[in-house]
Amino acid sequence: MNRMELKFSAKSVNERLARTVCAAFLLELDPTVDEMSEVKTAISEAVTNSIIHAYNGESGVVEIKAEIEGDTVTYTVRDFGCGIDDIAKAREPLYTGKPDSERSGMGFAIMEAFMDKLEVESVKGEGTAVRMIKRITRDEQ
Amino acid sequence: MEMTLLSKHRLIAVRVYGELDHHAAGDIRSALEREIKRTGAINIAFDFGSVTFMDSSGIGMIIGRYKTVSALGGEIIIYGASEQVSRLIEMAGISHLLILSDTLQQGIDAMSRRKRVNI
Repeated sequence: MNRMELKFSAKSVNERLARTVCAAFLLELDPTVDEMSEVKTAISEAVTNSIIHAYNGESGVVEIKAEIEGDTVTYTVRDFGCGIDDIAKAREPLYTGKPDSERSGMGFAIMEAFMDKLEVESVKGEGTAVRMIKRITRDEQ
Repeated sequence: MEMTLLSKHRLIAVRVYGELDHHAAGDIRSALEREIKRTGAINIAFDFGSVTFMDSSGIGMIIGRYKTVSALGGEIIIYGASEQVSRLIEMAGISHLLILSDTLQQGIDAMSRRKRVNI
């Protein structure tokens, strides 16, 4: 078991920090370039959601906890923002809560496609936790 | 980001560098909207050859620019995209709205054919 925690201000400049650290944490499992890029993209989507939707431009903190157990990595991205009204709706492809902000509505769809499992928990006024699990396939050549 | 106006084609060629995320997308959006107004260009060609990462914020930015130029009768060309970027464009289901090519010249040729302009 290996663990990592990262806490940072909900500022867009930190999106790169978050996905780079999360991808670097994965290196222990010797991932492929595609797996690295999938993790980076999924983390970027989760963190961007927290910054844009949970805090809506207000200051706040985003927290990421990651752990590796065997060949599987789990990332939990948590914010303490406004929470999601309707999780099922938010997870629908192409749905966006901010139609005027050039959001594609693809965030959750990408997280689902690029990770093996996605769980979303949200409490109105308290925040949202997105848990993503991915098994890294070892290439035994 | 570097922008070049190709007046003959009423096209702004924009070279995007590095990571195209929510943080970067806003700057590209405002720079392009300003240049379109200033120059009267109606087409945009994105050189994604130096883009090392893109997420759905990049897709949102592309769709936004597509809305702008299509209202003017223009087109979006994207060339030099990496596999990661191409995969997201495919997932977003927006390939048919764009001219995807390997080089700027191929993109311009495809655009001219679409517009039935003699080249």
